[in-house]
Amino acid sequence: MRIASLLFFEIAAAILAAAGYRYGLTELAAAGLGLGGLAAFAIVFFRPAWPTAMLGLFGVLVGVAGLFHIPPLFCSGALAAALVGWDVGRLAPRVAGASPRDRGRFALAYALRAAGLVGIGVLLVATAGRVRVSLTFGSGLGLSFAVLVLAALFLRNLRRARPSGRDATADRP
Amino acid sequence: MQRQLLFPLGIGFALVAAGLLLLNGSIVAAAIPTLLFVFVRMLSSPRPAAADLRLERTLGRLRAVEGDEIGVELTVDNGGKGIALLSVTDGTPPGLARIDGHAQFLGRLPTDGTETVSYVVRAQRGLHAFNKVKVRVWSPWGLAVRESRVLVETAVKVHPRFEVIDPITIRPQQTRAFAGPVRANRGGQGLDFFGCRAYTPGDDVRRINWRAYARLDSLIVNEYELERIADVNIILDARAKSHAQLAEDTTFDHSVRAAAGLAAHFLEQGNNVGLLVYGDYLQWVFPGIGRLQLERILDQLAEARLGDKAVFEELRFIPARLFPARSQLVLVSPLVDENDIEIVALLIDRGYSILLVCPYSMSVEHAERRTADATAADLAMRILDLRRDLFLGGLAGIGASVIDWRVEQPFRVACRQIHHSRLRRYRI
Repeated sequence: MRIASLLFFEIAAAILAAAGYRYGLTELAAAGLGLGGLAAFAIVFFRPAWPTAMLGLFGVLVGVAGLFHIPPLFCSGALAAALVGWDVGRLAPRVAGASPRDRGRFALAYALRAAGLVGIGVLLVATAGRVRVSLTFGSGLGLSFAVLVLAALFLRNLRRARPSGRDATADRP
Repeated sequence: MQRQLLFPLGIGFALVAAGLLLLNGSIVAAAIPTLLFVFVRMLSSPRPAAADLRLERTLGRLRAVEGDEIGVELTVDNGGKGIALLSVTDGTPPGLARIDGHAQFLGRLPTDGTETVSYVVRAQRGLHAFNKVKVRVWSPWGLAVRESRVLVETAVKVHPRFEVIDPITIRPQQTRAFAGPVRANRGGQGLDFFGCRAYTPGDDVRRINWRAYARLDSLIVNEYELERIADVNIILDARAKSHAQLAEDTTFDHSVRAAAGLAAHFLEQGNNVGLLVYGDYLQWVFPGIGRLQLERILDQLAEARLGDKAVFEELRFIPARLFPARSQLVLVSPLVDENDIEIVALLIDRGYSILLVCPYSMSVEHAERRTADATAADLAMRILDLRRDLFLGGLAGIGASVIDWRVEQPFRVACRQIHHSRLRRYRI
């Protein structure tokens, strides 16, 4: 899991570095490369909090890249890769007790699913710039309602949030 | 919702807020995959974990001796729909070190499927209750996880490992009425000559001392020393301040093994043996005989722990009224200071016969922590040895039998020394 996590963090760093070089922002490119090195260093001396710290740093760097008008596809791609790295890295301590073969298969399956999910988001960003939607009053109202429903669902889930690890009834034979 | 998702959610909202404030579309767009990821994860919910799972743990044995290897098998049986991603982690207690296999299953479990997690642990002394089994079920697309802990009650009791020791001679002032191995300091039926007395009708003719009759012209019979079973109570000093940490274990672990060996030995001889663990609180095993009593004592020793309660800081609070008057006490203790000698003297004064087992670890600590200045360390070690000799000499002087046990040597070797040299030297 750590290797898969590191791979995604490095992809994020590479995207930022490439964007920096392409648009003449060597400071951004250097920061991306530095963050990639830090990610490798962090994964080698792995601690459970490292993926979270790395995601935070990437979030800041993506914000900075946006300030310098780097195209949204680069920014969202970098943050999406870092997000998958965080998600996979966060699981590493939870699967430490399994055999290496099981861990490898699980890491692959999990990373692919998470990458697929954030990939949809990146695709949305990529297509958003090319799609022009002419909103009328009715479609605008419908969209507003849809957003309201989504917000209500979100709040409902937030209020239901409980710490994991609740006891379940044992099915004792 | 998982609380961990709040962090990327916070990053997403921060980026959106920053983008709106700065009127920067790139920053807002960067947040879209993150927010989508979080929203989808939040809205997807897996079914309750472990609802259709049946878990059963089987141990290779329920009682073991420390150092033994115990096989553990956890069987997961799925009585419901297939689970695409499942993690089942067995809760191995800290006292059991896993030496082979894996304690976690990770993968897919089809409908009516069964998986087995097998591993081997090495047991340390103690009562080890297995922790709850952690079950994590991911939603079909791996977007959300639900965790639960299922109690599968299993426990293993690990007794201390002990050595079989050679016979130890004890001489309590009071013995019990039944025949046994302990000399009772009274004339009667036995093997060792005890004395002579005048013949009384009913005495066995074969016991008449004909030489004495020839000399005194009256019938004299030989008496032999009665051999009875005795009350033996073992007191294990479990005060934290008395014991030292060694490389792998503590002197307390050695003391526990010695107490177990002594209990087995005295019970094997047929004595009435009890146990008092003095430290955290008073753990008392009422005296008894036989194999069942040995099991009781070993059970108690398995759970014995060091304690640092102020009320038990000194040995003076040993509840002597628990022990039969003038019986044999076996004190297993490193005896830290002069106050302890005073307590031993008080017990002897009350009529108890005391056998002291003093584990000594300083030579091991000396070898482990030898500094660069070896000469000074050797000198310090010599001074400590002399002090200890003086200390044990003082104990012998007040009438206690002493087994001076350097923990680097086997306990049975130390027990032999009391018989052949130390006993003669120390016994009054």
